Order: sequence, then C-alpha cells, then structure tokens
Amino acid sequence: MMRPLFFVCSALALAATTTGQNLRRGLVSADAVLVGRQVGKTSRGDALTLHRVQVLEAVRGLDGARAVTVLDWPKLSLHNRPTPRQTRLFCLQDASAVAQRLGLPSSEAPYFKLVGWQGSHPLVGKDRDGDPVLRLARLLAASERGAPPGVTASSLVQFALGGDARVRDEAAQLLTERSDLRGQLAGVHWSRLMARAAGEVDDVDYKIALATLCAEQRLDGLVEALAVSLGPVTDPRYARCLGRISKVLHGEQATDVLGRRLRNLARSEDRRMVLLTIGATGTRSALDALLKMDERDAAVTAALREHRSKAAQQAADARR
Amino acid sequence: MIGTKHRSHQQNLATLLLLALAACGGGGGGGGGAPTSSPVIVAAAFSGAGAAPAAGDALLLAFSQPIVLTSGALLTTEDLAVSGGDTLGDVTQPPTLLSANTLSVTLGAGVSFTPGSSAIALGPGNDVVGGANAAPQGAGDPVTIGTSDGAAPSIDDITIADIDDELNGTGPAGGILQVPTNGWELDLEYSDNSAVATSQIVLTASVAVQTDAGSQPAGADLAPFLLQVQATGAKATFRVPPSVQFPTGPATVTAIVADVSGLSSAPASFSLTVRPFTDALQPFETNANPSQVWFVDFDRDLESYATAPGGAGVQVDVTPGANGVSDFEDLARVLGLTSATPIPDVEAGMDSNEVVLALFKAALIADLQAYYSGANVTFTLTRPAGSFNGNTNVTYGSLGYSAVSVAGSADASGNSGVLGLAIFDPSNASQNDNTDDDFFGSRLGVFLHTIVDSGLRSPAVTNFRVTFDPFTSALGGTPIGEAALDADRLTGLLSDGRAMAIDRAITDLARFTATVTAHECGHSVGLVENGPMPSGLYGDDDVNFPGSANGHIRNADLFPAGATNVMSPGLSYTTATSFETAFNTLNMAYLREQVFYGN
Repeated sequence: MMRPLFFVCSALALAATTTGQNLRRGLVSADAVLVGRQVGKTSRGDALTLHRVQVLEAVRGLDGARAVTVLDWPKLSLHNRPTPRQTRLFCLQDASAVAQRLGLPSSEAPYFKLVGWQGSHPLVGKDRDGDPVLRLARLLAASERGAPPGVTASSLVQFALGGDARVRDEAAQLLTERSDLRGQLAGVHWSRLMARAAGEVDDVDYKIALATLCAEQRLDGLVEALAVSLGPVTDPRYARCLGRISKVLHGEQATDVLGRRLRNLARSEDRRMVLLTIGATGTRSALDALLKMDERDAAVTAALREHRSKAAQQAADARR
Repeated sequence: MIGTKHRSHQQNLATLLLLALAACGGGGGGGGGAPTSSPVIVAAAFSGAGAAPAAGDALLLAFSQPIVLTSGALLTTEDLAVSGGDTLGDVTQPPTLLSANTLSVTLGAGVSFTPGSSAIALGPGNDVVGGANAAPQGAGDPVTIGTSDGAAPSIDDITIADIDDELNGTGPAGGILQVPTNGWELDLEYSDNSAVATSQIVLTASVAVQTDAGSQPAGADLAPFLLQVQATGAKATFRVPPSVQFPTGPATVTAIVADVSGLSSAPASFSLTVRPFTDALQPFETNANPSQVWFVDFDRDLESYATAPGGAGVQVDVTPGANGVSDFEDLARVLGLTSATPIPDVEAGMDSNEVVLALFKAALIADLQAYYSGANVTFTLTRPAGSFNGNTNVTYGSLGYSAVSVAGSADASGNSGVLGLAIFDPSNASQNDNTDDDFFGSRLGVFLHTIVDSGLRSPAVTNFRVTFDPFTSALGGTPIGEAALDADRLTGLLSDGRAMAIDRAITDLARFTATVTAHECGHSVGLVENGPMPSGLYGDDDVNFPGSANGHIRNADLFPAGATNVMSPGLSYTTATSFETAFNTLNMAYLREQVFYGN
C-alpha cells in the first residue's frame, strides 16, 4: 500500500487544515470538474480499480459524457477516492495516457484520476443549487467560459463576506491570488472587506484570509486597523500573519508602526500579542527593539522566539 | 503528557472495581486466580488537634492494595509492628474504612508515638486487615508516621510512554494499549499541597510479574524492581527493565502516591495488554540490523522547471526530461537558494551553492534525527552498501537500509497537490525503496515542486513568500551568492538582515523537507495503521480525530496553534516548519518501541 501526503495550504500558509482549504486549487487545476455519483467499480487485478461515475452535472471540461471512469489504486492510501453511491464534486485530472499504457478499453473512456488537493472532493447535497461548494465551482467555471470579470469579482466578494463558512475563506483566497479580479472591485468593496478583516474575532482562519486579501491590495492604514484586534484575538497565527503583513507593507518601519500601539495598551494580553507581532516581522529593527526591552518580561522572550533569527533565539535562551 | 489532567473514565472505572472487590469481603485468600500478595502499609498519618497524639485523635493508614477488614475487630497495637515502645493506646472502636485502600483508627487512652519518627507496619499478630484474596497477616516494611496536612495528594494522570489520554485507550476513541513484556515506561503526574514523597510511590499489577527476585504476586509493590527514570514533585516515570517480565495478556497497573505528611492518594489504574515482541511485530528488531537506516537520496533527475506569472506570484512549470541537474537542485535554483554564478571558495573550497546545499542537508538530517529522537532510526546522505536490485520492497533482514527521494514533482503535470508518496509497511516488515520513480506508474518520494510551485503562487505576505522572495529572481529577489558580501553572510562574518533571511530560508526549507520526509518514512515503518489499539494507531478515525484519513491521524487538539502531528493527512508550509510540530505521543511511543500493534 502507498500513503500519499497532500499539500494543504498554498495561498494562505497560516491556515489550519480545514475542509475546503484547497478546494479552489482543485477546481482551477483540474482538467474536468463534475458532480458525479459512483455507480460501479471493476477491479483490474489487485492494483487497479475502475470506478464508473455517473455525471449528474458537468461543471466544466466534459464534452457531453454521461459517465466517466475514475482510476483508483487500492493499494495506495489515497485521500481522495470515489466512495460507492455517494454524490460528490469530482475535480479530475486526465488519465488517458495512463489508461492507454495500461491497455484499458476505449469503451470506458474518458479516463480520469482525482486531483490530490485536500477538500477538492466534498459531498454535494441534494439541493445542488443551494450547495455553496457547487455554487463556487459554477462561478469559477462561468468565469473560465468568459463571464465578465466584474461579475465574478463581485460574486466572490459576496461569497467572502456573506457566504457559507465552507467557501468564504476560499473566495477570499481566490481574490487574493487573482489581481485581475481584485482590480474589478470598487472602494466600497474594499471598505467592507477591511472592516470585516479588522472586526472578525471568532474565526481566525477567516480573519487571516481577509487580512491577507487586504494586504495584497496594499490598503492604506491596514496594519493599524488590523492591530486593533491584537489582544481580542489571542491566536499566535494571527500575530504571525500581521507580523508578515507589517514587514511586507512597511519593511524595517514595521516595528515603529506596531510599536506605536504599545503606548496605549493597558491589558497585558494586548501587549503580549503586539510584542509577538513585532517579533513575527522578523526584521532587524524588531530584533534591536526587543533586545532593548526588559529581560525578565516573558512576553518579550516570547516575541524573541517568534523572531526566529539565531540572534533572537540565543537571546531568548539566555533569558530562560 | 500534553493536556489532560482530568481523571479518566478508565481510572474511575478501575477504582469502582477496586471498591467492589473490597465490598465483596471475604478475607480468606485463594479464590482460584493468580496468587496475590497481602496488603502492606504504604503511608501513615496522625490527625489530631494537637501536635502530640491523644485519645480520640486518628491514625490514617494507607495500603498498597484494596483491603478487607475483619468485621467488628479492633485494630490495636497487637496487630501492628510499631517502633520502640510506641502504642496506639487502648483502642475501643473498630477501624473505619475510608476508601478501598485506606482506613482510620481512633486512638485510645494511653496512646504514645511520635509523628515524624515513629514507624508502623502490619505485625505478625494482624488478624484484622487482609486483602481481597489474602488473609490478614504481618507484612511490609515500616513506614514513618507523619502528621496529616489535611490534604491528600492526587494522581492526575497515569499513562504509558507519555501517551495522551485521547490516544491511550482511556479516551472516546477506545482501544487498549499493547506493550511488550518489558521495556515500556509508566508515567505518573500528581499534585499535592505540600510535597509528594517520591520514594514511597507504590506500583502494583493485577498479575504476577517475574523479576530477578522471583515472581511477584499480583498486588505486590513493583516499584523496587522498576527503573525510576525520573521522580519530581509533579511527575514520575518508571521503566520496566529487562529483568522484569510481565505475563502475556491483559493487566492493570495501579499507582498510589503518598505525601510527606503521610497521606496517600486514591489508587490510579491503567489497563493494558501485554504481548511478546516478536520480530514480525517489532518495527526495529535488531536481530538482522542494528537499526533502521534511511538513505535520503537527492539524485533524481526527471525534469526541469520554468517560471511564469501565476497566482499572486509566479508558477513553476514542469518540463519533462532530465537536464543533468538533480530536480532538487533545480528547485533550489528557482527559489534563489543557489545561483548560476556562485561565489567561489566561500568555505573549505566550496562555492556559495555548495555551502548552501551543505547547510540545508545538515539541517535536514538534524531535523529528521530530532523527529525520530529516541527511536532506533538513523538518517544518512551516503548510500549504504547493498542494493534493492530493482525491487521496491525487500525483506527487512536482507538489506541494511530503506531509501527515500527528495525530488521534484509528483507527476509530469505538476498539478497533483501531492507532497509525498511512500510505501506503507505495517510493523516495518520490509526495507522500502521510496526512490522508485515508476511504481505502477507512480513516483515515490518527497515532492518539493508542490510546495515551491504553490508557495510562489501565494500572496506576498504569506510565510513562504516572505521567506523566499528576497532570493527568488522571478519575484525580484537576489539569489544567494549574487549579492555583495553573501560569502561573509554564509560564513557568519556578517550578521545583517539579509544574513538572517538567508539563514531562515535555508533552515525553514530544511525543516519543511524534514517534516514531509519524516512523514513518508513514518509510513514505511508502519505509521499510521487504521483502527484503535491494539489493532492500529487510530488511523482513519475521522469521528474522534476530525480530519484524519486512511493511514493518517490528525490531532489538532494535541498541538498548539500553528503546529500539527507529523502524520496528519495534510501539511501547510507553516505547520510543517513549526518547531512544535512533532509525531503525536502514540506515534512516538510506537517509534520508540514502547507500544506496538498487531497480533
């Protein structure tokens, strides 16, 4: 048997493993996307299984086929594999070359295999028009077929701001990765996105996705706005994200921009998170500033650890 | 132990069973089961209004196992071996059973002993305190009578090999840990308002255990026969040495701790199953090979790469066909870790490219060894003697190593989303060649193209981009070796911002590669068999460990934010580079051969 390890997070490396985390990568990189139901399988020796999948909806990349064959290797512990009788979204890679090499009959064509991106093979509900994953897949397919970019971009904002939790991160990440679509957004869109990024305190993955989107657009005052929730949000992943955003947007000045917030903080938790964020900038100025701070302060030591440079680690070790 | 401090259901159940046993009375011994030992006093505390004992005060006695009292009988000085001329006085009331293994004696007129120096044990005249299957008798070494501080210690956790409760059979996922007849460790965590007397920890088993002093009956204190690895004010670890043999089959180990005031904890028990560690089940049996050696191979050359605008940055397209440079080095060039025009003779005759690659590989091996710390596994960059002769698997004893490639893409499309692929080898029965690039049409190994392509497509503020943008020429960076003074940065003579960035890029990519490599090698040494212990290591249990998949287990609750179990089904760049990412405690215990699966 074989064990595959799939890459989870591409555009938003801070995000945790969640369903749908790389749905968009599957949707975009697949040769064909469909809603299908596994209706049968045939074993070809003990190394290969051919799953017959009924096409319930061809989202893109299929030329009228009513059924496809999906290759599966039972001795390989693949994450994404057809499940008997289940209706799922299938993001498929062309496997015709493999089929030809293996001598599979042309009568069972077209042949595909599932892509490996995690979250790219979700269940689809009976109410297909109401299924948020399928709605996102249809939107992207329509975009590929030539839908106006402005419409696609606006729809993605709706997904990102008001969509189901399964797809809102994906929508935000898609906008982050597509400068052509971001360019279609109006000021009011960005105001709403930035306000939501600053105000979100419950779903850190979502907050990070929105913050990253706003950072990619280099919105004015972003770091200051996002820094307000340092403290109300205590997840170190957010501090790391904002540290990187600060570094990209402000370079060595990031320490000053974040440091200004330290003057107005009363709560130790707020201060700890701001210091952590300063450390996460990984800048020389951050290291210098932290080294000048109270050696006995555990928050400073944690910030040095977050800096991750050798000098910072040595300083943190010395303070233990 | 990470996390839980609560008393487990299993412990509570065990306590109930002990109480039930005690309630059954009897006191006769026999019973048809394994021979059992008599209870002995393990802690004694005086509890009274003044500093010196007086009539009406209490003496609290804790025993090594559940006790049975002779109904209506008085526990007097005649039943005990009390030091010197000390006495409990004229006891007029039968002792009171406080718990399964503790009792209270109300001291009588004429009581005379000195807390802190007087000692007590069950004496030859004992006809009051027996065990569930043992008649009352004198037994045990004297223990010093303390002065109760009013708060008994508690055992907050008991487990094997530091395995978290979620994974040790006491959690909702069920199962029972399977251990060899010896070589495993028992871990205790305890607390007290004063201090635990670590020399008085009592460990008993529900079965007779063979030691170099002969067979110890069920209920006998095994602590003197075990190796005390550590014993602090908060936790203790005992190792079952080669001289001690647990019998095959189910067993329950019970611990009691006492504090310095003479009060004892409630017993805490842990159930396990014991099975001989056969070569077939032992992952790193040493009859054939002294250790599991992993050769990490960087030589694969199947393709080259080109960058083009893509995503929020650039994409890395795959061009099939060998180009005379390893795929790994091609990707290092894409990232800007190496240069087409390296600085010559940076250090020991090596140019800047060679220095970078040497630093990377050294960090990779160090990280791999750290992941497998305590396991009989080593990693090498030098191909060991011997060959797979074209086979992907050979029997464990027929070759001295397994191999894994660190290479480029998982397939020619470059869109697979797969970071690594390896042969799953339950119980590590074989040596495995994960450098095969055509295993029924699949490449095996670690596929760095997936992370490089995906990472460079990502937004500029992501961890990957922040780390590598300064060097990636396709994104405006200056490759290492092309900036003035890079030689000094590589040798440590210059420590500026770019030097820090260089260091981080090398160490983080090495860490990421190590995590994926550790994961793939993990599969090829038996991780993560599906099912609960003892049939598996809880792989594919998506109900109790959400996000798990076939052959994998995700333990989000057991790791801090931003870190993950190495054997999770998916890894992000950030979680894979976290210093807090590690094998979960059960996987680690398997690698350290503390527990194992199968039959």
